[in-house]
Amino acid sequence: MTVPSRGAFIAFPMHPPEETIVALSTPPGRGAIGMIRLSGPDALAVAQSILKLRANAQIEPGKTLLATIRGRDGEDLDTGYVTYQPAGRSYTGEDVIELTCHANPVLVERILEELIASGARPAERGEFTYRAVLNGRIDLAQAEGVADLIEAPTGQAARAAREQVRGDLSRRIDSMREVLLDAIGRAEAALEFGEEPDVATADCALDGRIAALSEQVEAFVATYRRGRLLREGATVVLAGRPNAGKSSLFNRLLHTERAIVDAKPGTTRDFLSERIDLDGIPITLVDTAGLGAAGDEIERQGMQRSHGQIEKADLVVLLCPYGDALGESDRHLLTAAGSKVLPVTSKSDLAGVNGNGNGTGGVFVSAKTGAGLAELRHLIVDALSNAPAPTQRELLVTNARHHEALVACRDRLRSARAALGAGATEEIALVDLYAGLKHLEEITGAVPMDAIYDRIFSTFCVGK
Amino acid sequence: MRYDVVVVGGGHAGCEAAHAAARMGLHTALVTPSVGGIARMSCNPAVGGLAKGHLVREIDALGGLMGRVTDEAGIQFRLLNRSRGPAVQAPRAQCDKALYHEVMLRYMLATPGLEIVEGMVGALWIEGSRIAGLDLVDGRSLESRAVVVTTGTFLRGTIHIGLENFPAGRLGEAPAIDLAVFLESRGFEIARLKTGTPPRLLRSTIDFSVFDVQEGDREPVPFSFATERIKAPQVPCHIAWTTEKTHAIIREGLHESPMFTGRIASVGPRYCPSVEDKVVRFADRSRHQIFIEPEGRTSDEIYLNGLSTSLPRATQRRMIDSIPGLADATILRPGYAIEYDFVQPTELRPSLETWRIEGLFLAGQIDGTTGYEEAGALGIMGGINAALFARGEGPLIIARHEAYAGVLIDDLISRGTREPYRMFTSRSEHRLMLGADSADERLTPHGRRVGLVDDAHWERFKAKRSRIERYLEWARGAQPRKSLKTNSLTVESLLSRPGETIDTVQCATDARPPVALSWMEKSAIEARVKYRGYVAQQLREVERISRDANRSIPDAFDFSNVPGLSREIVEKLSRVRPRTLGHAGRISGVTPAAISILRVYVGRSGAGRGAVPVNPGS
Repeated sequence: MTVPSRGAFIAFPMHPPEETIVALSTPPGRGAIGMIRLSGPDALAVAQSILKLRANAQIEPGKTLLATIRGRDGEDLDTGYVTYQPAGRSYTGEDVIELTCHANPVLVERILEELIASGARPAERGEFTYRAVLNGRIDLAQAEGVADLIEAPTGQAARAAREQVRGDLSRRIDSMREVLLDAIGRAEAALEFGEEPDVATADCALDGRIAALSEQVEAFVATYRRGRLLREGATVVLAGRPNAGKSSLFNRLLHTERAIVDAKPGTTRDFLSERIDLDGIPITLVDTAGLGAAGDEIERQGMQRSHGQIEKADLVVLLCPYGDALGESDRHLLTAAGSKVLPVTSKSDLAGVNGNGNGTGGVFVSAKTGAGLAELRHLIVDALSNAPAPTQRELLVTNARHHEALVACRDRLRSARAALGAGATEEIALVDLYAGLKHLEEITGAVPMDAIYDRIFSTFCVGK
Repeated sequence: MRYDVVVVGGGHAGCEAAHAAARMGLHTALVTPSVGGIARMSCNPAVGGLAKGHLVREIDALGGLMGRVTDEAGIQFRLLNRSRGPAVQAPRAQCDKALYHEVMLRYMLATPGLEIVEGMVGALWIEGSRIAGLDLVDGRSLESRAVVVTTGTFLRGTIHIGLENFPAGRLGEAPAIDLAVFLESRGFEIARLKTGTPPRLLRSTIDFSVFDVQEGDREPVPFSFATERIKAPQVPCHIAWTTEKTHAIIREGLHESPMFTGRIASVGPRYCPSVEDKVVRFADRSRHQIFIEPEGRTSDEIYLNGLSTSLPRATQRRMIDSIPGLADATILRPGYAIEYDFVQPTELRPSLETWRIEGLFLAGQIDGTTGYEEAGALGIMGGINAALFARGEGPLIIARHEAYAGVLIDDLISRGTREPYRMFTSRSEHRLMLGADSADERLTPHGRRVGLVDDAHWERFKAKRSRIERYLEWARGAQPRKSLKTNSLTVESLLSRPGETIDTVQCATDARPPVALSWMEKSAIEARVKYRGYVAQQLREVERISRDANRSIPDAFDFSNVPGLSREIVEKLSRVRPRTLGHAGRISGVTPAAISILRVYVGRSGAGRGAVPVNPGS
């Protein structure tokens, strides 16, 4: 499953922010409450044109008021609540009005029409967030977090997105940027003001600073494998011979009786696919028809489909019941797709105790008793992220754009280190360092060169 | 009188401008209050340094004077950053101030077609939106369709010494007020900047025995590509240090500081802080360095580099007494701060012509810069472009990857400035391509094309270029001695390694190069070989960006008709009037998103079809 990536709001800067925009911010459809949001310089005036407040009541910042919503023809449409956040203190940085009414599509449509007739323009997808970026309320990475938060399929993915919105990622990037700015500033000071006693006696060496930063960036880049998994999820296919217990395990992992289970081999003819939250990771779990000798045309087709699913899978859990040796189809699968196969011994309850291995090796699980399931979950997540789960909660890189920029930054830092290692002087290493800095700044959308001069002149007493 | 070009101001910008225009064959007048003020070094007696030395080489490569004059007037030469790569090495020289003025004046007087007119400018004549000439306050009139204004710090200058202040352009000289009023009346965006200068002492009253001594280079590296050797003997500089007592005196005097009491609100250069600024901002430093610089070989005046101040005279007296070696030294002139008007350089086109008045060019410190070298670079570009304008030809615009002069102008006109703009090598994103020793390769052909580089200069340049090519051809074939067991197959690849120089690789081969090289030629070759990979990469980037960035925006393009641009961005674009997409993108506050919108509309107008948002009134 793939969440739409690369924040869509960056793509439509075609409308001037002088316009006041309006949109229904809750999902369309019927419900108790719908919330209409207005943002822009005329938000208050536009809202007021359709609101009738109680006598002496007045819309004030931060206050929620009951109001009658009234059409241009004087018809009372609904009663709702209105909240006003003034420019500078709102989400978008502009005047924002939030108007709640009853969520009836016909009613909402009518209210939107009235607001548009009074001067608002329908907002485009993500435009409120886009304005928040334009007005400097949040940076680019935070805005991308907002889109992720809305789309997050699991609690953990939501938490990662939330951290991004809160600015955790931006702060991490900023702290790396700080280190790089400091290193560059010192090197520049040495180049431009090397004669000044204040600079000549200071530590302006690049090597150590760049080595430390380089390690930080490397480590952060490495979290992407897990972060990406969290955001984009993965497909896990249960495979094995007929009657290996795939459907039982499928149901167990789903906590429902989704697949029909029967002692008769070959009960599952087609594949079944369901979304589950596996330790926070959005997984598409696929139950497949058993592999082996086909009895009839339907079984043959079922197996063909199983092979198709196995090919597409990020991970294949290969089940072999306790006491059975690996079959020909199992060995074939291990050879063909070994690197993404996780062997599992199923029906471990038949053994009484865990421990005595047989042909498959791997973890012992029992769909019947639930034994080994927790371990299996961990193993699946570890195998997918290609790394053991972190022992403590850490900040993850989840976004492909951020990952790309970090990798580019890392490569530049490596290149700078190589140049310095070969004895090159600062002006050469700096070419890479500026490029690396630019890549970091791409993530949050920060800018300029002046930062370097601010740093030099606040750190060193230079100039005559 | 009728002239092709009139230059107002005889400082470092004015001299370069007038000389360039006259050398290009235009009948040129330089207007200055006094011939004695030609090319005065109003502040420190030094020329060059990092990025500034680069600029001087660029002026020289184009056919300008600053390099040649410095070589003749210099009394101590030093090459900075010898331990670093060739791109970031730069010459610096202490000059004899009086000699500098004399040599420059001699060059000016020897320039055919150049007249020096003593006088103060009263008013500029404008016909419609074009300049037509100017009146001097004494009633004389100079007619010209191209005028370059280079008034430096004289525009509505105010000097501050302690809490006293008075109008002046330089200590003892009147400010230019009428011109400031005129520019303001024409709607120019004018702001104020500040700079300062230290006290001058009488040499014979200083005890030099207590100072550290700093000698010049044994083999001085000249500024000008034309100078073969610096012949004049070098003089040493001396270094003194402030003491805790000095700092205490300064802190006690802050209540009478025009800066710390808020009398001066304008911004000064951060790289030239006053000593009171240093003491306050870096309170943990126990001492600060002061260079004791002679203003000339025989001059009695000493410049205290590092002790710029605007504290009251009495405090300056006590301050100086507290510095070992300076006690009881006679103060010839006090230090002071000067506030002056400058024109926001976003008012300028890339040719330095103003957007508002056709034929009016502004160059030098009036554009918001600091430093003789920055002024000189702007001066020569303003002079060249005024001359081209007078001839009816298109302007000479130097690209950012061609020279620091290009970076300087592009930065100024795109972003404007809030503090006096000083050049740094890091302001260029192509530093490795802009080594001081290769300025001629990048600029002399431009100078030749516009007619500023004369035949002798051009022949010398071609000879140098061919020596470099011959050496490189040889180095690509010559092999290091086998016994050295180096991995480098050729002398050239050996030279590309860090630490190797032309002299060291020569020791590693039995082959003999076909040419003898000068110091500058060696350095230019080293830069070319050592930076080759990086430069190739940067050139590809330049090309990629320039394909897009060079898409031009018509002069009459109306930004307010482009949908999707914020009011703020429209305002900025309308004020700066970028000529290309690349230029627009470098304007501070203009977002990449805005550029992508502009690209769409500029693309349409470039195709010459309808839908061009051109303002019918412009």
